[in-house]
Amino acid sequence: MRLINFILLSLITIFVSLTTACNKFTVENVDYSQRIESVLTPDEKGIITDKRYAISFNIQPFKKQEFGDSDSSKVEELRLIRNEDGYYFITASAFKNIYVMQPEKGSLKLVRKIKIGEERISEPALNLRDTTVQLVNRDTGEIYLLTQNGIVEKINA
Amino acid sequence: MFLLRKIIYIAVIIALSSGTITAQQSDYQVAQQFKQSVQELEEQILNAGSTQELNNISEQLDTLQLKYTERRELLDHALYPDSFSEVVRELSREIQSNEQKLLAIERQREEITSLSDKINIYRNEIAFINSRTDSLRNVIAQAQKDRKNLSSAIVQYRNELERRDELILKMVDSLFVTVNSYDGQVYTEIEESLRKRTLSGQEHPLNYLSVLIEKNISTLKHHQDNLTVRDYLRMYAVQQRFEQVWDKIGNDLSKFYGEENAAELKSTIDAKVQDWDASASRNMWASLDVYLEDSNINLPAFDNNSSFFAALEAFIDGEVHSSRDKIFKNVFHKEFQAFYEIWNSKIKDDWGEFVKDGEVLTMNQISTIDAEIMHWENEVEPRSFTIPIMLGLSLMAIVGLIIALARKE
Repeated sequence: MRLINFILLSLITIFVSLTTACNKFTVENVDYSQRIESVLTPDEKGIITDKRYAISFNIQPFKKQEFGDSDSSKVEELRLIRNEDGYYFITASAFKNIYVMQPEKGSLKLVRKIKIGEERISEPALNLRDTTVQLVNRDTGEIYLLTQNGIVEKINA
Repeated sequence: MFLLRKIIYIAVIIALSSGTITAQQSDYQVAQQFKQSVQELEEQILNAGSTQELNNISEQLDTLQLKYTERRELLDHALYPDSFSEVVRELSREIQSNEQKLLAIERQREEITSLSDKINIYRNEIAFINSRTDSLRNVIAQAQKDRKNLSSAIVQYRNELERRDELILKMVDSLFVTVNSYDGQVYTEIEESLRKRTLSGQEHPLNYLSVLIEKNISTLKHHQDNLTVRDYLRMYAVQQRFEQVWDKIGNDLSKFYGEENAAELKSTIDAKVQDWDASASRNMWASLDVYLEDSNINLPAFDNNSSFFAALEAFIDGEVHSSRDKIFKNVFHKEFQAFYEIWNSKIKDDWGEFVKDGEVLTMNQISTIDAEIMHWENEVEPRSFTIPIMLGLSLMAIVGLIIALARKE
């Protein structure tokens, strides 16, 4: 009797496993890249909305990271671009860092905070170049090639 | 030489454009600058006032296209759901469409200038005739006792008035033809500046029309013993023609030249046209009435087309009725002859042109009266008594002969 029960249970387990395996599949080589950066103006609550790429979030955590709790600096425009792997690269005028964020369920999780230098970048711009994201310091003309892992290359003006 | 200049021009543009874009380094900025340039071109197209300006814009579009061709892919992303080629095509379409409109506007501007010139010529001629008629009126007033001078001055005066009316008709017809040719869609897009460039101050035709109407009203209201029925009929026909044309083009003309005061100007001229109509009509019907009375044709009262037609019909009916059953119709026939003479030689012939033009009588009404006149003629035809008398005499002779023969036997 026990043997019969064991066989039945095993069969059911194999059947369920096979069925589940058939419903789960993965699409490879998805390109998430956003060809041109989005430059977004936050509303009075600090929320930016990118209608074209369908993303919306509050920028306060970035502001807090850059300027701390007490700083009342205003972020006029937030710049973001997404690379092929789906990571968001986020910065703004007067930021020192580029924030590499990974989308998760209902949130953006910090993957890496790439510090560019001691000086704040007054006029940053993000371009997508092949597999890298290019940060341009329009003030100095310096260019940084970035991935989610950090700075790959720095090109001086 | 031209080709060399063109090559250098293109080379400079390419050098400048590629340098500019490379120096930018920000894709977003490149896209923004392209969008900005497109917007500026759109505004320039919208505000272009001549085909020459549009040609320049077209060259700018070529330059823009050349400058951004290498960033086409980037711009396709940035301009989504539009694309770089679609934006360039759309600008090109706008240039072509505006060029068509501007060509039409330029053509109409030329027509307006030509109309303005024509009106100026008519205005000068009419002003000259007005000054002559004014001085002739003075001559007539002063020469009341000198019959010879008076009669020649009156003839001259009437001729001048006739010439003036002809010129007014020509001017009104020119206005009608020109304004009627305006294309509705283009018409609304003619900029105020274009109007002002063509017409300003004294050249304003509406002001002149207003002055012209006043002058006509003044001529009609002035005591005019020296004018004939024909003169009044002509003046009436001119007024009627003017009113017809004004009804058709008055609105457009007022909008075009009246600018923001269009409605006010239109209603002012409307009122003057009505006043002119009343004066021309009153004088014409009164002069016709007096003329017929003087010719012993006493019609019932009339002061418009339908009452005049009714009066003529009533008169003919009355005459036919009176002459019916009368043996001796010579008197009636003479009355018929008098009316027939006026009807044919005056109303239909001498005044015919103005009677028809001014719709003093319509063609149908004239035909009806013609038919009634034929019936009247039959009724009043004098009868011959020769045959009855001859028959009577023959009978008497036969009877006499029979009696004579009987007595002899």
